[in-house]
Amino acid sequence: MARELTPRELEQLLGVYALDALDDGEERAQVELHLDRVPSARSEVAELREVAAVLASSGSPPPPAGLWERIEAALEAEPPRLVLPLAAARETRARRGIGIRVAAAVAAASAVAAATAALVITDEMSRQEDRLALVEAQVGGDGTRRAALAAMASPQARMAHLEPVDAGAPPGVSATVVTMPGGDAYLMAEHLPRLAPGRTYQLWAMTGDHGDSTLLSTAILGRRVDVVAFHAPGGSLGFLITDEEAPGATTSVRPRVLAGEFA
Amino acid sequence: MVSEQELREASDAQLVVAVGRFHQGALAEAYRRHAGAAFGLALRITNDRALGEEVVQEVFLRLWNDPEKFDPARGSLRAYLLAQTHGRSVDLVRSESSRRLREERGARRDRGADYDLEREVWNLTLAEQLRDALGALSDDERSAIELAYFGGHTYREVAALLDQPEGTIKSRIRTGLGRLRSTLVASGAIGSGEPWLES
Repeated sequence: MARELTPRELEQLLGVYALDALDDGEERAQVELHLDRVPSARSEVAELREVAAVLASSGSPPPPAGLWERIEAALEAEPPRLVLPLAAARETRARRGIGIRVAAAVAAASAVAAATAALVITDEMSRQEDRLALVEAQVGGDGTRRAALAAMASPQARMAHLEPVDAGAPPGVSATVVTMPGGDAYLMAEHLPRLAPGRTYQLWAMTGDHGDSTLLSTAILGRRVDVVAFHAPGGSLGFLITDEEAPGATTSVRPRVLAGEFA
Repeated sequence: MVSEQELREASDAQLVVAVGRFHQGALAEAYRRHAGAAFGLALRITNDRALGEEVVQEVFLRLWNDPEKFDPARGSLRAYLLAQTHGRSVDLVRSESSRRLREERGARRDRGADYDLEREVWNLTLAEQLRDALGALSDDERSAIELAYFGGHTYREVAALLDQPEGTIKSRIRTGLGRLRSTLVASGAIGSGEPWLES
């Protein structure tokens, strides 16, 4: 059935689409294209899926005993963090390929593997930061702001006001960091200008002694910063924000944009 | 670290943000809220506990690995998880669908026309609201929705099972769901917040 369906025919298929009752074929592809183009069709499908969810929610049995434990075990078996597929692959290749060459080559190869591992960790971190930024941009929004305001109102909160480091900064630019005893923390930025593509704001925690502090990268903030939730390292004295090349730096050499210590 | 109390009080959207931060407790809470419905749905479609469990596990692992795929602008977390559950269950059963179709046709002949959603409904207020809403549907609309959603059939299969034209089935499903929605919105079961959340 390669015939192109009329808009009316496509609309007629929204109900069966919402229930997954279309064959995986031409019709389904055409409906999906229609959904991409027509917001009202998307809303209808979303609404009908809510109805379906109510149908499915009536009289559901409790989930089987032990299922959560199996899911949890699967999380532990493959935690989505700092995996090193590329580095591991290179190492294997190096081992398999030139095993008979001189020791120096082996040393060189492992140096390459180490460098690659570092690179991959950075990539992986930025992938995780991307994931976080995505989720928060989509889901967080108001929720994060509410949580930040609630934290600010807490008597246990500590606050740091971040002010422009460069006197030439646009007026009104500032940020506030609120941290809670467990390390939950929020950054609320005001009027921080949007960065050009390929650049990102990065948040650093100042730790150590006042005279001799160390900077720890705490969050990659993206090109535009509003409210961000993050984890503040223990012993943070204050925070600063730099403007880095995406996806962020492991050691900052860039000028600082905003900085401030706990009040 | 977030306390269990805070997790219990968090909105679904906040849970998903926490899942984005690899917070296992948040995933556990999402599971507590929605796994029962997901398992019930998977079980009804696959009619096989092991397959049902496999589907639920897959759905929650997917939420863990790709939380950003959930878009709250396009519906509730429960509707999202159940849509995933439904899609996956249907994938599993459709591979053997022609055999099932023959069996089902036989079974329907044997037990007559009492394929009835209402029998399945036994839960609290939501169930009552749903029962009222279902009462507003014609038997034909109910059978078509039931066979498509819980039977995991395509609308063409539903048309064959009910011996009706395909166009009729398409429109019965759409108008039936639309009418259910209006009734459920009017009774407050959907449209504002997520009434099925246990508090």
